[in-house]
Amino acid sequence: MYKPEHSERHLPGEQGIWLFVLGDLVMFTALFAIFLTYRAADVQGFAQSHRLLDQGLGMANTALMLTSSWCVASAVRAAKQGRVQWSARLLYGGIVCGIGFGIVKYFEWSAKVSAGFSPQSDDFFMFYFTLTGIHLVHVIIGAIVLIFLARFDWSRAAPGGTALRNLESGASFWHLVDLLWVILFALLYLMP
Amino acid sequence: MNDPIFFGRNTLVWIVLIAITWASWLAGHSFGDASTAGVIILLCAFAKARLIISEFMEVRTAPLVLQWLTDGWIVIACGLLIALSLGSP
Repeated sequence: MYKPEHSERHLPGEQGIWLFVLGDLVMFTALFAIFLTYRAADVQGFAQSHRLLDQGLGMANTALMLTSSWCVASAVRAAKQGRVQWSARLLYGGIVCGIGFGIVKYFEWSAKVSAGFSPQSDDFFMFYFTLTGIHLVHVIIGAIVLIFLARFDWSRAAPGGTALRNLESGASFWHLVDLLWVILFALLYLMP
Repeated sequence: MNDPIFFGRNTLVWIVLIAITWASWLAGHSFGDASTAGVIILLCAFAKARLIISEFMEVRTAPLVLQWLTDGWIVIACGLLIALSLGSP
């Protein structure tokens, strides 16, 4: 059992958020496994459709996600050092990257739809739209959480560390969103 | 906790993550054998995942049980997905 008063180790955020993180990882791993199983049954078909994806936009989105995580991790570090103004600025930096991700995703989907593709086109595109769609919902929720955290008034924070724990919880969720994208990007955009 | 916010450890992690991303993109375009490329791409993806978990999510300094759980997920998920990527109909 984790006993904070006896350990130098520190759980970033509430225990509940980590239960969610681990559960979400398991769920997405199952989705990834299902994707690869369908792919194994039609390697050529999947490869053909995969080649229609815009790798440049995928790379751009990966860069945005990684940078947003840097911003959020740095925001937590700043808050721990009492530099709350920088913490807020860095959180907004992460939010801006997240919005950028959403904008790129919108243009990417629009291009596909204009070209006549939809989740019904074939199995690959069903997975492409569904997986990136579920991920985008995570991005939106995460960004909303980050906005609340960025607007928090630290001068009104109650003693006891709740404010920092909340920040860490929101940050942990955001890093999960980044982490899921990293795997998604590899499976959909990179795997030949 | 005097690690600099800018140009500190987190920035180094970011640079490594970008570099691995680039390397895995190259792997996808360099290998004639799709299976080999796939394995390398997945290994790179999970290396990035572990870096994000260990550094950005601060699991490195978290209670050991969380390290074990996340490392366990990395190993099991990576192994499972690599195995499935090599599967044939």
